[in-house]
Amino acid sequence: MVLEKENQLLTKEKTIVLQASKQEQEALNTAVKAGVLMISAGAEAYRCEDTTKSILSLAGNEYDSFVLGTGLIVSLRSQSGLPLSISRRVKSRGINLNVIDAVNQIARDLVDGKINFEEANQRLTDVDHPRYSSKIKILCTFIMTASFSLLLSGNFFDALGGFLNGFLLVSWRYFATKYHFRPFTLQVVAGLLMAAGSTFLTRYLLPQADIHYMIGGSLMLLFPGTSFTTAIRDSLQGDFVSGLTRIAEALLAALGLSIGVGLGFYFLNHVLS
Amino acid sequence: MDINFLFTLIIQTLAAFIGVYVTSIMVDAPKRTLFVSGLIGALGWGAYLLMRTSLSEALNVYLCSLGIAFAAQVVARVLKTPVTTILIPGFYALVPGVTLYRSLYFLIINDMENFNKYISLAGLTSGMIALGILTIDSFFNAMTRIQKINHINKQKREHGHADFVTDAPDWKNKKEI
Repeated sequence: MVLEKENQLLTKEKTIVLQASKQEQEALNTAVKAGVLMISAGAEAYRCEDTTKSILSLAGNEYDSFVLGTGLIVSLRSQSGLPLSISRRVKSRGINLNVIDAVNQIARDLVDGKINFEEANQRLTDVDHPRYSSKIKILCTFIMTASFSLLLSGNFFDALGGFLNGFLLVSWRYFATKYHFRPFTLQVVAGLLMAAGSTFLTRYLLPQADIHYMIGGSLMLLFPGTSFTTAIRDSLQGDFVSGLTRIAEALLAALGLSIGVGLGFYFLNHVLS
Repeated sequence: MDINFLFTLIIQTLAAFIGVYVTSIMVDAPKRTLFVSGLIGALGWGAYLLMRTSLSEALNVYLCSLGIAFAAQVVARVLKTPVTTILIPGFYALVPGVTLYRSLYFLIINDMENFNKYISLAGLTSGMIALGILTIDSFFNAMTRIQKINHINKQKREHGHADFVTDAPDWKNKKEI
Protein backbone atom coordinates (compact mmCIF):
# COMPACT_ATOMS: atom_id res chain seq x y z
CA MET A 1 0.00 0.00 0.00
CA VAL A 2 2.69 2.42 1.02
CA LEU A 3 4.88 1.27 -1.81
CA GLU A 4 2.09 1.89 -4.33
CA LYS A 5 1.61 5.41 -3.05
CA GLU A 6 5.29 6.11 -3.31
CA ASN A 7 5.33 4.76 -6.83
CA GLN A 8 2.43 7.00 -7.79
CA LEU A 9 4.20 10.01 -6.34
CA LEU A 10 7.34 9.09 -8.21
CA THR A 11 5.62 8.82 -11.57
CA LYS A 12 3.73 12.02 -10.92
CA GLU A 13 6.95 13.79 -10.08
CA LYS A 14 8.57 12.45 -13.21
CA THR A 15 5.83 13.76 -15.48
CA ILE A 16 6.03 17.14 -13.83
CA VAL A 17 9.79 17.27 -13.96
CA LEU A 18 10.16 16.44 -17.64
CA GLN A 19 8.56 19.60 -18.92
CA ALA A 20 9.90 22.50 -20.85
CA SER A 21 9.35 25.90 -19.30
CA LYS A 22 7.62 28.63 -21.26
CA GLN A 23 10.86 30.52 -21.68
CA GLU A 24 12.58 27.53 -23.21
CA GLN A 25 9.79 26.95 -25.69
CA GLU A 26 9.74 30.62 -26.59
CA ALA A 27 13.49 30.66 -27.11
CA LEU A 28 13.27 27.63 -29.38
CA ASN A 29 10.44 29.13 -31.46
CA THR A 30 12.17 32.48 -31.77
CA ALA A 31 15.45 30.84 -32.78
CA VAL A 32 13.74 28.75 -35.47
CA LYS A 33 11.89 31.79 -36.79
CA ALA A 34 15.07 33.86 -36.96
CA GLY A 35 17.00 31.00 -38.57
CA VAL A 36 14.40 30.38 -41.27
CA LEU A 37 14.26 34.10 -42.07
CA MET A 38 18.03 34.29 -42.38
CA ILE A 39 18.33 31.20 -44.59
CA SER A 40 15.59 32.41 -46.93
CA ALA A 41 17.32 35.81 -47.10
CA GLY A 42 20.53 34.15 -48.26
CA ALA A 43 22.72 34.51 -45.15
CA GLU A 44 25.80 32.36 -44.63
CA ALA A 45 25.36 29.18 -42.60
CA TYR A 46 27.73 30.20 -39.83
CA ARG A 47 25.95 33.53 -39.32
CA CYS A 48 22.67 31.69 -39.06
CA GLU A 49 24.13 29.26 -36.53
CA ASP A 50 25.61 32.08 -34.45
CA THR A 51 22.30 33.94 -34.32
CA THR A 52 20.20 30.90 -33.39
CA LYS A 53 22.75 29.77 -30.80
CA SER A 54 22.88 33.13 -29.10
CA ILE A 55 19.08 33.18 -28.85
CA LEU A 56 19.07 29.64 -27.42
CA SER A 57 21.78 30.56 -24.92
CA LEU A 58 19.17 32.67 -23.10
CA ALA A 59 17.23 29.55 -22.12
CA GLY A 60 19.82 26.91 -21.23
CA ASN A 61 23.37 25.71 -21.34
CA GLU A 62 23.05 22.70 -23.61
CA TYR A 63 21.96 23.68 -27.09
CA ASP A 64 23.05 23.45 -30.67
CA SER A 65 21.97 24.46 -34.13
CA PHE A 66 22.78 22.81 -37.42
CA VAL A 67 22.21 24.88 -40.54
CA LEU A 68 22.41 23.68 -44.11
CA GLY A 69 21.81 25.82 -47.14
CA THR A 70 18.38 24.26 -47.48
CA GLY A 71 17.12 23.91 -43.92
CA LEU A 72 17.98 23.90 -40.25
CA ILE A 73 17.75 21.83 -37.06
CA VAL A 74 17.68 23.56 -33.69
CA SER A 75 17.84 21.69 -30.40
CA LEU A 76 17.89 22.57 -26.72
CA ARG A 77 17.90 20.52 -23.52
CA SER A 78 15.55 22.04 -20.98
CA GLN A 79 16.56 22.53 -17.32
CA SER A 80 14.57 19.43 -16.45
CA GLY A 81 16.51 17.31 -18.91
CA LEU A 82 13.88 17.09 -21.64
CA PRO A 83 15.43 17.34 -25.09
CA LEU A 84 13.61 19.73 -27.42
CA SER A 85 14.20 20.00 -31.12
CA ILE A 86 12.65 21.57 -34.20
CA SER A 87 13.72 21.09 -37.80
CA ARG A 88 12.57 23.16 -40.76
CA ARG A 89 13.05 22.86 -44.47
CA VAL A 90 13.51 26.10 -46.44
CA LYS A 91 12.48 25.79 -50.05
CA SER A 92 12.44 29.29 -51.47
CA ARG A 93 15.67 31.20 -51.12
CA GLY A 94 16.40 34.65 -52.43
CA ILE A 95 18.64 37.47 -51.43
CA ASN A 96 17.46 40.14 -49.03
CA LEU A 97 20.22 41.91 -47.16
CA ASN A 98 17.81 44.02 -45.15
CA VAL A 99 16.33 40.90 -43.52
CA ILE A 100 19.81 39.69 -42.54
CA ASP A 101 20.62 43.06 -40.99
CA ALA A 102 17.29 43.33 -39.16
CA VAL A 103 17.29 39.78 -37.76
CA ASN A 104 20.87 40.28 -36.59
CA GLN A 105 19.82 43.47 -34.79
CA ILE A 106 16.78 41.81 -33.18
CA ALA A 107 18.88 38.91 -31.91
CA ARG A 108 21.42 41.32 -30.44
CA ASP A 109 18.71 43.35 -28.70
CA LEU A 110 17.26 40.12 -27.32
CA VAL A 111 20.60 38.95 -25.97
CA ASP A 112 21.27 42.39 -24.45
CA GLY A 113 17.93 42.20 -22.65
CA LYS A 114 16.48 45.26 -24.37
CA ILE A 115 13.41 43.34 -25.60
CA ASN A 116 11.64 40.19 -24.47
CA PHE A 117 10.67 37.16 -26.54
CA GLU A 118 7.20 38.47 -27.33
CA GLU A 119 8.51 41.73 -28.79
CA ALA A 120 11.22 39.85 -30.65
CA ASN A 121 8.63 37.56 -32.21
CA GLN A 122 6.54 40.55 -33.22
CA ARG A 123 9.53 42.28 -34.80
CA LEU A 124 10.54 39.08 -36.60
CA THR A 125 7.04 38.86 -38.07
CA ASP A 126 7.20 42.45 -39.28
CA VAL A 127 10.69 42.18 -40.74
CA ASP A 128 9.64 40.41 -43.91
CA HIS A 129 8.16 43.49 -45.55
CA PRO A 130 10.25 44.69 -48.49
CA ARG A 131 12.12 47.89 -47.77
CA TYR A 132 11.86 49.49 -51.19
CA SER A 133 8.72 49.75 -53.30
CA SER A 134 8.53 47.74 -56.51
CA LYS A 135 8.42 50.99 -58.57
CA ILE A 136 11.82 52.03 -57.24
CA LYS A 137 13.18 48.54 -57.88
CA ILE A 138 12.00 48.54 -61.49
CA LEU A 139 13.58 51.95 -62.04
CA CYS A 140 16.76 50.59 -60.47
CA THR A 141 16.80 47.69 -62.93
CA PHE A 142 16.85 50.10 -65.87
CA ILE A 143 19.61 52.20 -64.35
CA MET A 144 21.59 49.12 -63.42
CA THR A 145 21.56 47.53 -66.88
CA ALA A 146 22.58 50.86 -68.42
CA SER A 147 25.41 51.51 -65.97
CA PHE A 148 26.83 48.00 -66.24
CA SER A 149 26.88 48.33 -70.01
CA LEU A 150 28.96 51.49 -69.50
CA LEU A 151 31.16 49.70 -66.99
CA LEU A 152 32.12 47.03 -69.51
CA SER A 153 33.66 49.85 -71.58
CA GLY A 154 30.57 50.24 -73.71
CA ASN A 155 29.59 53.64 -75.09
CA PHE A 156 26.42 55.68 -74.77
CA PHE A 157 24.51 53.61 -77.34
CA ASP A 158 25.30 50.38 -75.51
CA ALA A 159 23.98 51.92 -72.32
CA LEU A 160 20.78 52.94 -74.10
CA GLY A 161 20.43 49.40 -75.48
CA GLY A 162 21.00 47.95 -72.02
CA PHE A 163 18.36 50.30 -70.67
CA LEU A 164 15.81 49.08 -73.24
CA ASN A 165 16.80 45.46 -72.62
CA GLY A 166 16.19 46.04 -68.93
CA PHE A 167 12.54 46.59 -69.75
CA LEU A 168 12.20 43.08 -71.24
CA LEU A 169 14.01 41.60 -68.27
CA VAL A 170 11.82 43.37 -65.72
CA SER A 171 8.57 42.26 -67.34
CA TRP A 172 9.73 38.65 -67.60
CA ARG A 173 10.99 38.62 -64.02
CA TYR A 174 7.69 40.04 -62.80
CA PHE A 175 5.78 37.34 -64.69
CA ALA A 176 8.05 34.52 -63.51
CA THR A 177 8.01 35.49 -59.85
CA LYS A 178 4.24 35.95 -59.95
CA TYR A 179 3.74 32.31 -60.98
CA HIS A 180 6.70 30.93 -58.97
CA PHE A 181 8.64 29.41 -61.84
CA ARG A 182 11.81 27.49 -61.17
CA PRO A 183 15.00 29.59 -61.18
CA PHE A 184 16.32 27.57 -64.11
CA THR A 185 13.24 28.34 -66.23
CA LEU A 186 13.57 32.00 -65.34
CA GLN A 187 17.21 32.11 -66.36
CA VAL A 188 16.89 30.21 -69.66
CA VAL A 189 13.98 32.31 -70.85
CA ALA A 190 15.70 35.49 -69.66
CA GLY A 191 18.73 34.53 -71.74
CA LEU A 192 16.53 33.88 -74.79
CA LEU A 193 14.80 37.22 -74.35
CA MET A 194 18.10 39.05 -73.99
CA ALA A 195 19.45 37.50 -77.19
CA ALA A 196 16.27 38.29 -79.12
CA GLY A 197 15.93 41.81 -77.73
CA SER A 198 19.52 42.85 -78.35
CA THR A 199 19.59 41.35 -81.84
CA PHE A 200 16.44 43.27 -82.68
CA LEU A 201 17.88 46.47 -81.25
CA THR A 202 21.19 46.24 -83.12
CA ARG A 203 19.46 45.40 -86.39
CA TYR A 204 16.73 48.01 -86.43
CA LEU A 205 17.10 50.67 -83.74
CA LEU A 206 20.69 51.11 -82.59
CA PRO A 207 23.09 49.84 -85.25
CA GLN A 208 25.99 51.61 -83.48
CA ALA A 209 25.68 49.52 -80.33
CA ASP A 210 27.78 46.42 -79.55
CA ILE A 211 25.62 43.40 -78.83
CA HIS A 212 27.98 41.92 -76.21
CA TYR A 213 28.14 45.00 -74.01
CA MET A 214 24.38 45.30 -74.18
CA ILE A 215 23.70 41.70 -73.17
CA GLY A 216 26.45 41.70 -70.55
CA GLY A 217 24.96 44.76 -68.88
CA SER A 218 21.46 43.34 -68.76
CA LEU A 219 22.53 39.89 -67.63
CA MET A 220 24.44 41.32 -64.64
CA LEU A 221 21.08 41.40 -62.90
CA LEU A 222 20.66 37.63 -63.08
CA PHE A 223 24.26 36.57 -62.58
CA PRO A 224 24.80 34.62 -59.39
CA GLY A 225 27.43 36.89 -57.85
CA THR A 226 25.77 36.77 -54.45
CA SER A 227 25.64 32.97 -54.22
CA PHE A 228 29.27 32.91 -55.28
CA THR A 229 30.43 35.28 -52.52
CA THR A 230 28.38 33.46 -49.90
CA ALA A 231 29.71 30.09 -51.08
CA ILE A 232 33.29 31.23 -50.51
CA ARG A 233 32.59 32.51 -47.03
CA ASP A 234 30.66 29.36 -46.12
CA SER A 235 33.44 27.04 -47.24
CA LEU A 236 35.96 29.16 -45.37
CA GLN A 237 34.09 28.67 -42.11
CA GLY A 238 34.14 24.91 -42.57
CA ASP A 239 30.50 24.65 -43.70
CA PHE A 240 31.43 22.74 -46.81
CA VAL A 241 27.95 21.36 -47.39
CA SER A 242 26.37 24.81 -47.57
CA GLY A 243 29.30 26.09 -49.60
CA LEU A 244 28.96 23.34 -52.19
CA THR A 245 25.19 23.85 -52.30
CA ARG A 246 25.66 27.49 -53.18
CA ILE A 247 28.42 26.82 -55.70
CA ALA A 248 26.08 24.36 -57.42
CA GLU A 249 23.37 27.04 -57.35
CA ALA A 250 25.71 29.60 -58.93
CA LEU A 251 26.94 27.19 -61.61
CA LEU A 252 23.41 26.18 -62.52
CA ALA A 253 22.35 29.81 -62.83
CA ALA A 254 25.31 30.67 -65.05
CA LEU A 255 24.64 27.61 -67.22
CA GLY A 256 20.95 28.45 -67.53
CA LEU A 257 21.67 31.99 -68.66
CA SER A 258 24.31 30.91 -71.14
CA ILE A 259 22.14 28.18 -72.63
CA GLY A 260 19.33 30.68 -73.05
CA VAL A 261 21.55 33.26 -74.75
CA GLY A 262 23.28 30.61 -76.88
CA LEU A 263 20.01 29.11 -78.10
CA GLY A 264 18.64 32.55 -78.85
CA PHE A 265 21.68 33.49 -80.93
CA TYR A 266 21.70 30.18 -82.74
CA PHE A 267 18.08 30.51 -83.80
CA LEU A 268 18.35 34.16 -84.76
CA ASN A 269 21.58 33.86 -86.72
CA HIS A 270 21.32 30.43 -88.34
CA VAL A 271 17.66 29.53 -88.60
CA LEU A 272 15.71 32.75 -89.03
CA SER A 273 18.14 34.87 -91.04
CA MET B 1 48.41 59.09 -68.53
CA ASP B 2 46.64 60.54 -71.51
CA ILE B 3 43.41 62.48 -71.34
CA ASN B 4 41.40 59.79 -73.07
CA PHE B 5 42.22 57.22 -70.41
CA LEU B 6 41.40 59.69 -67.66
CA PHE B 7 38.01 60.33 -69.24
CA THR B 8 37.25 56.58 -69.42
CA LEU B 9 38.41 56.17 -65.83
CA ILE B 10 36.06 58.86 -64.54
CA ILE B 11 33.10 57.66 -66.59
CA GLN B 12 33.54 54.02 -65.59
CA THR B 13 34.11 54.78 -61.92
CA LEU B 14 30.92 56.85 -61.90
CA ALA B 15 29.09 54.03 -63.67
CA ALA B 16 30.43 51.56 -61.10
CA PHE B 17 29.18 53.78 -58.26
CA ILE B 18 25.70 54.10 -59.75
CA GLY B 19 25.58 50.41 -60.69
CA VAL B 20 26.60 49.18 -57.25
CA TYR B 21 24.32 51.68 -55.47
CA VAL B 22 21.36 50.57 -57.55
CA THR B 23 22.23 46.89 -57.18
CA SER B 24 22.25 47.26 -53.41
CA ILE B 25 18.71 48.59 -53.64
CA MET B 26 17.77 45.57 -55.75
CA VAL B 27 19.03 43.15 -53.09
CA ASP B 28 17.22 45.14 -50.34
CA ALA B 29 20.30 46.43 -48.55
CA PRO B 30 19.67 48.61 -45.48
CA LYS B 31 19.53 52.31 -46.32
CA ARG B 32 22.56 53.30 -44.28
CA THR B 33 24.87 51.00 -46.25
CA LEU B 34 23.84 52.08 -49.78
CA PHE B 35 26.24 55.00 -50.22
CA VAL B 36 29.18 53.23 -48.62
CA SER B 37 28.87 50.07 -50.68
CA GLY B 38 28.56 52.18 -53.83
CA LEU B 39 31.74 54.02 -52.87
CA ILE B 40 33.62 50.79 -52.12
CA GLY B 41 32.54 49.23 -55.41
CA ALA B 42 33.51 52.36 -57.38
CA LEU B 43 36.93 52.70 -55.71
CA GLY B 44 37.60 49.00 -56.28
CA TRP B 45 36.76 49.28 -59.96
CA GLY B 46 38.81 52.49 -60.32
CA ALA B 47 41.84 50.80 -58.76
CA TYR B 48 41.37 47.83 -61.07
CA LEU B 49 41.35 50.11 -64.12
CA LEU B 50 44.41 52.05 -62.93
CA MET B 51 46.50 48.95 -62.32
CA ARG B 52 45.33 47.05 -65.38
CA THR B 53 48.13 48.29 -67.62
CA SER B 54 50.99 47.61 -65.22
CA LEU B 55 50.00 44.40 -63.40
CA SER B 56 48.96 40.92 -64.51
CA GLU B 57 45.24 40.23 -64.47
CA ALA B 58 45.42 37.73 -61.59
CA LEU B 59 47.48 39.93 -59.27
CA ASN B 60 45.36 42.95 -60.13
CA VAL B 61 42.07 41.25 -59.26
CA TYR B 62 43.59 39.80 -56.09
CA LEU B 63 44.83 43.19 -54.86
CA CYS B 64 41.50 44.88 -55.66
CA SER B 65 39.47 42.24 -53.87
CA LEU B 66 41.81 42.51 -50.87
CA GLY B 67 41.04 46.22 -50.73
CA ILE B 68 37.29 45.78 -51.18
CA ALA B 69 37.04 43.02 -48.57
CA PHE B 70 39.11 45.00 -46.06
CA ALA B 71 37.01 48.14 -46.54
CA ALA B 72 33.82 46.07 -46.21
CA GLN B 73 34.97 44.52 -42.92
CA VAL B 74 35.96 47.88 -41.43
CA VAL B 75 32.80 49.67 -42.57
CA ALA B 76 30.58 46.85 -41.32
CA ARG B 77 32.11 47.21 -37.87
CA VAL B 78 31.56 50.98 -37.91
CA LEU B 79 27.96 50.76 -39.13
CA LYS B 80 27.18 47.74 -36.90
CA THR B 81 25.79 45.60 -39.70
CA PRO B 82 26.65 42.09 -40.91
CA VAL B 83 29.64 42.10 -43.29
CA THR B 84 27.54 40.41 -45.96
CA THR B 85 25.39 43.49 -46.52
CA ILE B 86 28.42 45.42 -47.80
CA LEU B 87 30.57 42.62 -49.19
CA ILE B 88 27.98 41.32 -51.66
CA PRO B 89 27.20 44.62 -53.43
CA GLY B 90 30.86 45.68 -53.21
CA PHE B 91 31.99 42.86 -55.49
CA TYR B 92 29.29 43.30 -58.13
CA ALA B 93 31.53 45.29 -60.46
CA LEU B 94 34.40 42.81 -60.26
CA VAL B 95 32.50 39.51 -60.60
CA PRO B 96 33.33 38.02 -64.04
CA GLY B 97 29.76 37.43 -65.19
CA VAL B 98 30.28 38.92 -68.61
CA THR B 99 33.49 37.00 -69.23
CA LEU B 100 31.65 33.77 -68.47
CA TYR B 101 28.80 34.72 -70.76
CA ARG B 102 31.21 35.64 -73.54
CA SER B 103 33.09 32.34 -73.27
CA LEU B 104 29.87 30.37 -73.66
CA TYR B 105 28.88 32.56 -76.58
CA PHE B 106 32.13 31.62 -78.33
CA LEU B 107 31.41 27.97 -77.51
CA ILE B 108 28.07 28.25 -79.28
CA ILE B 109 29.57 29.81 -82.42
CA ASN B 110 32.36 27.17 -82.33
CA ASP B 111 35.28 29.55 -81.79
CA MET B 112 37.35 27.31 -79.52
CA GLU B 113 40.37 29.59 -79.21
CA ASN B 114 38.36 32.46 -77.78
CA PHE B 115 36.31 30.08 -75.66
CA ASN B 116 39.46 28.76 -73.96
CA LYS B 117 40.76 32.27 -73.46
CA TYR B 118 37.61 33.63 -71.84
CA ILE B 119 36.71 30.59 -69.75
CA SER B 120 40.17 30.49 -68.19
CA LEU B 121 39.94 34.25 -67.58
CA ALA B 122 36.59 33.79 -65.82
CA GLY B 123 37.92 30.96 -63.66
CA LEU B 124 41.02 32.96 -62.80
CA THR B 125 39.09 36.10 -61.84
CA SER B 126 36.60 34.27 -59.65
CA GLY B 127 39.37 32.27 -58.00
CA MET B 128 41.32 35.43 -57.23
CA ILE B 129 38.24 37.14 -55.77
CA ALA B 130 37.72 34.07 -53.60
CA LEU B 131 41.34 34.19 -52.44
CA GLY B 132 41.05 37.90 -51.62
CA ILE B 133 37.93 37.42 -49.50
CA LEU B 134 39.52 34.38 -47.86
CA THR B 135 42.69 36.26 -46.89
CA ILE B 136 40.90 39.21 -45.31
CA ASP B 137 38.29 37.02 -43.60
CA SER B 138 40.99 34.84 -42.06
CA PHE B 139 42.88 37.91 -40.87
CA PHE B 140 39.85 39.42 -39.13
CA ASN B 141 38.89 36.02 -37.75
CA ALA B 142 42.35 35.68 -36.22
CA MET B 143 42.07 39.16 -34.71
CA THR B 144 38.74 38.40 -33.02
CA ARG B 145 40.11 35.05 -31.77
CA ILE B 146 43.10 36.81 -30.18
CA GLN B 147 40.77 39.36 -28.56
CA LYS B 148 38.47 36.65 -27.22
CA ILE B 149 41.21 34.44 -25.79
CA ASN B 150 42.94 37.45 -24.24
CA HIS B 151 39.64 38.46 -22.66
CA ILE B 152 39.19 34.99 -21.14
CA ASN B 153 42.77 34.86 -19.89
CA LYS B 154 42.40 38.29 -18.30
CA GLN B 155 39.28 37.16 -16.47
CA LYS B 156 41.10 34.05 -15.29
CA ARG B 157 43.98 36.16 -13.94
CA GLU B 158 41.70 38.65 -12.18
CA HIS B 159 38.95 36.43 -10.81
CA GLY B 160 40.62 33.04 -10.80
CA HIS B 161 38.03 31.75 -13.27
CA ALA B 162 36.45 32.81 -16.54
CA ASP B 163 32.77 33.28 -17.26
CA PHE B 164 30.98 30.27 -18.62
CA VAL B 165 32.44 30.02 -22.12
CA THR B 166 29.96 28.85 -24.72
CA ASP B 167 30.22 28.22 -28.40
CA ALA B 168 27.90 31.16 -29.04
CA PRO B 169 29.39 34.51 -30.07
CA ASP B 170 30.27 36.81 -27.21
CA TRP B 171 27.74 39.50 -28.08
CA LYS B 172 27.35 40.76 -24.55
CA ASN B 173 30.92 42.05 -24.59
CA LYS B 174 30.59 43.28 -28.21
CA LYS B 175 33.57 41.22 -29.27
CA GLU B 176 32.34 39.92 -32.61
CA ILE B 177 30.37 41.40 -35.43
